[in-house]
Amino acid sequence: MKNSLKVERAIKDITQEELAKIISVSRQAINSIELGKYVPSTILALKLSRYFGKSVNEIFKLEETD
Amino acid sequence: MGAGCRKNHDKQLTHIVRVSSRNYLLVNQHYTCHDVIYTRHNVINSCIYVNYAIHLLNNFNLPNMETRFLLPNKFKLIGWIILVISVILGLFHLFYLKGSELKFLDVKMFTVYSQNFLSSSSVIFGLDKVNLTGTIIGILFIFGAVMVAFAKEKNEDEFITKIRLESFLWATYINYVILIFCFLFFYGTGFMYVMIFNMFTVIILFIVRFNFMLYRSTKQIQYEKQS
Repeated sequence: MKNSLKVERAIKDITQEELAKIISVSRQAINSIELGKYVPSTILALKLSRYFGKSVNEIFKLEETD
Repeated sequence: MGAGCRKNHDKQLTHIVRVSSRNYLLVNQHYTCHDVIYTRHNVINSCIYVNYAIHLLNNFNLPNMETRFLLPNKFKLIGWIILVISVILGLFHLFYLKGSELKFLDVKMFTVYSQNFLSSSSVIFGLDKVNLTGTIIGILFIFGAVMVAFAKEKNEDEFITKIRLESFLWATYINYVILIFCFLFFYGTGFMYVMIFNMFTVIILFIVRFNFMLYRSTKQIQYEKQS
């Protein structure tokens, strides 16, 4: 799975830390999601989608290998 | 030149990331199975593990991103203090006193099963003369270690829970690898020392691994900020 979290964050122009605070998760979580090292729970994905005003499918995408 | 390196590095990183995210999914599917195996192994050792396994199983049904069955964050500091004191006392007892017991801690108390090393006399469900040096140090250590290991982080969330789970799995594996090694190469009184230390190795390995992984994930953020 890949995600466009970094891009979305750039569009909104906020840091990982600010985003983490808004979503109320750790900074490490946001960082690891961006690096693709952590697959967030559905709840976290939905929270991110709500904040960015985009559907989960637009932010997170399946890859052929998944 | 610097930019070129960065690009290559990034490419490599995405590749690793892709592999690891896939691996994570696979690993994740096996979790419940491992939890069950864990539980079986550790019932004998201590109730702590059982509680933790229950926590792991329950955790997947949580409506929010918080973690249940963890102690409040303030226990972390108290835990470290107790842990350090008990480790100092323990090492003092083992290496300075050479395992001999403190005389003022000789008491007569209820025991479930107590057997004297030298004589063949044993007491089952009755009063026996015992020494509480090891008892007190051991219990102090367990209290301290459990507080340190299972107190919430300040920013406890699902990602940190994942690190917690993986560290626990890792610690259990490594513990048994070490134990197999010790079974093979320690005998007699030597093996008795192994047993004494092995009572505490799972939780020690867990604390070391968990904090190392947390440290590494924080380090990664600092690296991100610089770039």
